[in-house]
Amino acid sequence: MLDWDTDPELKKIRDEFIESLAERKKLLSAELAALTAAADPRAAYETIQGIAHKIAGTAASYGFPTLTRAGEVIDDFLDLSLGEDAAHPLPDRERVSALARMLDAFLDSALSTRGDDPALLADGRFAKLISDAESALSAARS
Amino acid sequence: MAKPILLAEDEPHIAKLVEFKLSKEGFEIQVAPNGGVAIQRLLERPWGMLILDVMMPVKDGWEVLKYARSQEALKELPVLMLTAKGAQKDMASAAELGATQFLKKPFDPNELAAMVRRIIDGQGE
Repeated sequence: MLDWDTDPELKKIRDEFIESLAERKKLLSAELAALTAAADPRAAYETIQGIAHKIAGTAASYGFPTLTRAGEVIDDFLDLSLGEDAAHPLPDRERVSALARMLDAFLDSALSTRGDDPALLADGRFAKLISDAESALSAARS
Repeated sequence: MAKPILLAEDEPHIAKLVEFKLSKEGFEIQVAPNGGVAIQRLLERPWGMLILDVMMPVKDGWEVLKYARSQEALKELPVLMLTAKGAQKDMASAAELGATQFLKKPFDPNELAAMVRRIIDGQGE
């Protein structure tokens, strides 16, 4: 990975990326609120998946592999029912809300420490959520 | 002097990081923020390489790649495609449509730079 603090231009680029995470956190919070109110959760799920997908595809490049991991879990899980070849019914709101709140917590950590925290993946609050989502993915792919 | 690299990437944070890293490696980079602009730029001048994201507005990476390979002047242009992680069909499609190489997102910028170096050195630039 890159040494983020040695080059002022690189540090600036990374700082801008971290600011964008704050924007994504706001969007995620808004979507969580919308999810609670919506009669049909599909649109909120698609937006949450989009946010997770963007985070998954960029965060690790900026030194946040844990954030990428959280984004991937949610993106892949929601793809089961929203993706091109989706054959699964929409998951329940509680599950998607819990996953979205997990991503929100990971974003909080990245924003407050400006660094990566792999311990989050093993945190009791999140490890089971991740494991359950991955089990659903394995079952779907078998 | 080496020909510049055209980077077609709509995610500004990825574009800035790639531009920074490859510039430090001595390459000249120009950025197209969507597939439509990329297609317009491709025949404007000779390029050393095209780095091409798949998911982009206006025209996606597949449309840009197909266009490039349909043009005599661009048939041999090295194309590195940036694909979504786990998208096996992306990699198969990339090879089928004539991409030179592909790299999954999120990528290590050092790995991207090394891959670009290998591809361009292999072209004898």
